[in-house]
Amino acid sequence: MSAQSTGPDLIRGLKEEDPDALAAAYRAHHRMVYDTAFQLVRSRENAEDIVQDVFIGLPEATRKFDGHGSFSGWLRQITVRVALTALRQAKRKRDVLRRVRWTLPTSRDPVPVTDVVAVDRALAALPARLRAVFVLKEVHGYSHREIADMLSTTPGGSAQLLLRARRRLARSLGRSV
Amino acid sequence: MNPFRRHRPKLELSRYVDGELRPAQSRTVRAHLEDCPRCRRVVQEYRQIAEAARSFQPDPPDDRILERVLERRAAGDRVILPVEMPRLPVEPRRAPRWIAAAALVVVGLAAVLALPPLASADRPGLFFMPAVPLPGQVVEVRYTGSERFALAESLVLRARLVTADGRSRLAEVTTLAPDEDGFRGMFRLADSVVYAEFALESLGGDVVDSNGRRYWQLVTADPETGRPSRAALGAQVETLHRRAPVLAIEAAERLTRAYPDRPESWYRRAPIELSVYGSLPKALSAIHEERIKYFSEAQAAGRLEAGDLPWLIGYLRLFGRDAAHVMATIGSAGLMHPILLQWSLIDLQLAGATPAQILTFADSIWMQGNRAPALADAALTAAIEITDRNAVEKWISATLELSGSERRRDLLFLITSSPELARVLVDQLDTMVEGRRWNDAGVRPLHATHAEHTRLIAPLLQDALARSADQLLSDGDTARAITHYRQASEAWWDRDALLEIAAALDAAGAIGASTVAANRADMVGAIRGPAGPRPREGGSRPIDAAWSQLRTDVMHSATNIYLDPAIRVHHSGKPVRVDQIGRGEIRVLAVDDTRYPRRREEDLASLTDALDRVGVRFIHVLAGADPETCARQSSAVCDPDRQLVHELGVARTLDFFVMDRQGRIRFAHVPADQIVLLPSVLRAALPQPPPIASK
Repeated sequence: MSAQSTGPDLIRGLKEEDPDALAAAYRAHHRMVYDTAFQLVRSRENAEDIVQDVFIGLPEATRKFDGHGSFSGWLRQITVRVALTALRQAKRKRDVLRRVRWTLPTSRDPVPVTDVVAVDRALAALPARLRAVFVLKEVHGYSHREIADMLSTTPGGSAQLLLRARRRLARSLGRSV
Repeated sequence: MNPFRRHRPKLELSRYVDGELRPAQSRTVRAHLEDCPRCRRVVQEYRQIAEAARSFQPDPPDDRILERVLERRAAGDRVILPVEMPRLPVEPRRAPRWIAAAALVVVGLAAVLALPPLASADRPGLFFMPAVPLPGQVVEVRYTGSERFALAESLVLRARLVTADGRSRLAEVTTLAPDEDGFRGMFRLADSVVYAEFALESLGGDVVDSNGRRYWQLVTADPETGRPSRAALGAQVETLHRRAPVLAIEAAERLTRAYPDRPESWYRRAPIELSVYGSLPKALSAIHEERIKYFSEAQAAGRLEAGDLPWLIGYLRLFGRDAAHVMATIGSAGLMHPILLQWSLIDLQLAGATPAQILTFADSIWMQGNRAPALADAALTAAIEITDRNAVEKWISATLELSGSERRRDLLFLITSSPELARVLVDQLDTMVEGRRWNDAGVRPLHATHAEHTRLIAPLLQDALARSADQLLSDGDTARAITHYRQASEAWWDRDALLEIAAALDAAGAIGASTVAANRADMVGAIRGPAGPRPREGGSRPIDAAWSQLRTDVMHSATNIYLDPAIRVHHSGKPVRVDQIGRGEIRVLAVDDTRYPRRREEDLASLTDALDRVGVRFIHVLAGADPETCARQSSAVCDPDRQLVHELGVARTLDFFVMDRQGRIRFAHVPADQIVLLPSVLRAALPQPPPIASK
């Protein structure tokens, strides 16, 4: 298998629907895609479904990748959109949040792990929209303008939602802010 | 320093953390943070939470996903991903319909394409006569090209019927009988139905034609014009929005084509476009900009109807109009939907409206009878900001009118930043409860039953009230000063402060009240120790007070104790709050450490101290931990092969308490086979009752 994980070969291979290239892309990026999806939908099954959908659609989608910016960033953005669509659908089905699972952190976390788990738990309990804003901003570093575009709100609305998310998190973590 | 401006708004701090403030504003906040520990803590907290969220890693996904992806692709499955903004022609509405539709299919949905092969020549169709019926009219219906129903004797026509107010129901509207080139039938729509979607099925329900899941759609006409009515098109847009955004966009375009002069049409169209496209292509933005301009002029010229205004405000908001714009629109609207009001306030604040502007705005809306809590909050904050005492009084009483302990608590937080405001609050409360003790009127439970409130609010309130009373006394208003001192003493907090109050009351001649305050000081001293929650080192106190202290300390440490939620415990009772635990009930407190090896040592140290003070022996065992982890935890006993755990007797059934993040304690009973999940154990050996490990 000659394709490299993000090089032009890989992209060419994907565009030509080469299964080897798809497998290479999967190995290189599936974890990022999965983590991104999981952070938003908070359900292992749904995150896995998203990973499947993203990679099944990747060869056709790659034809529209213009080569500007990183492939990984581009793929992340697509994943975010797919996950948000899934959340919107799930909200109607009231499905995703009921199947929240607890998962435990790995030991390489740089901050006190106790807090990581607690924060994760609190995040899982946030309403989907607040969580989406929090994750997009704090974990992925999108600007409020970009988030506003993704969530059909205004940058001001996004900032306000983020504040609400932060306050609710702080409250459920027993902080006083 | 202006006493009314003690802390920065949370929203501003939040945006500061985001790095999305203007440089000047950002400098102001930074300067403020240097002097203000509370705001600094808020900022730090926001950052810590974000940091923790970033560090979180979910378990890895199933490793067979790649296999499934390749299999599904090999089987011809395709998924269209929302890759990019579609390249629409400059004037999308003039483009051939199929191009727009094809382009739109690309976006928005990650739907698996499972469309049946197209047989365009003889595609079956459902036709209505009239095509756009009036509500309540009889409709003739014909179905053609029906190979899939070749064997059917008749067909059932099913429908989703939608009324003008957006309610929908499913119904079987009629059966179709065969004729020479298909099936035929008729039905009558209920008067209330404005829009309907249809599908056909065979009598047994085994064969269905849903027009490729798009269904056949029927909109009703406006009786006056004969055109599809606004309500019908609106209902169509809303219904499709939920299940088929691409079709919804087409429907929304039809709506705006038919009713371009009504903000409602555009308000219904814009969110769908925004949600499908992510951000709008230039051509579409231009159309909306042009419309917004048009509506602004129409509003100025008085051509809009009252019913249009909420839609217009919503529409303006979707495109991020500035506060002044929205406020101007609202001002002339003379009505306010609560949601719109909330939005508008947020917009005003974000757009940096001055407190005076917000007050004016709030006044006018309140006058119109809109008693929204958000409005009162915003107004009160603004009034405090500009130190307008009259306005503060007015909005405090407005806020109290709205009632609710949550609201009062917010108010207390706000008010206790200044004795001046505390006095206003107390006066208001006095008026409100007409002679009853003000803290019985709903404030007391806040600091009497909830430990956190006791810690946070009571001292603030007491301090503020006492300072206010000092001021009154020096102004010569002894009667009111006594009232305020008395109320301060009801905050029940600090012994020394209570003694000072007692002295002040004594000096003011209120002997009875002074005695009461002094008694309270004694009681507080007995319960909590002389000053605040920390006990005096080596002091001899009654054992009950010591237990109370232990509970407090354990509860404070509990914010950093985390028990693995994966441990399944069998509850032997209902959840019990920490302050309801009786003496002697804490036997073994178990904490799980190896999974979270970096639990802060000082937390353990404070627990050790707390237990030590009541004679509880503390052994922190790191069972099953690797030597490296052990080396980091200097105070812990290493037990890599779990030998000690066995010796301690924890490998049997134990009673222990599980404490959750809210500080609630559950009395739990753990069977022996689950004990291995507790790799380290904090074992308490109480003098009374005998240690449980010995049972």
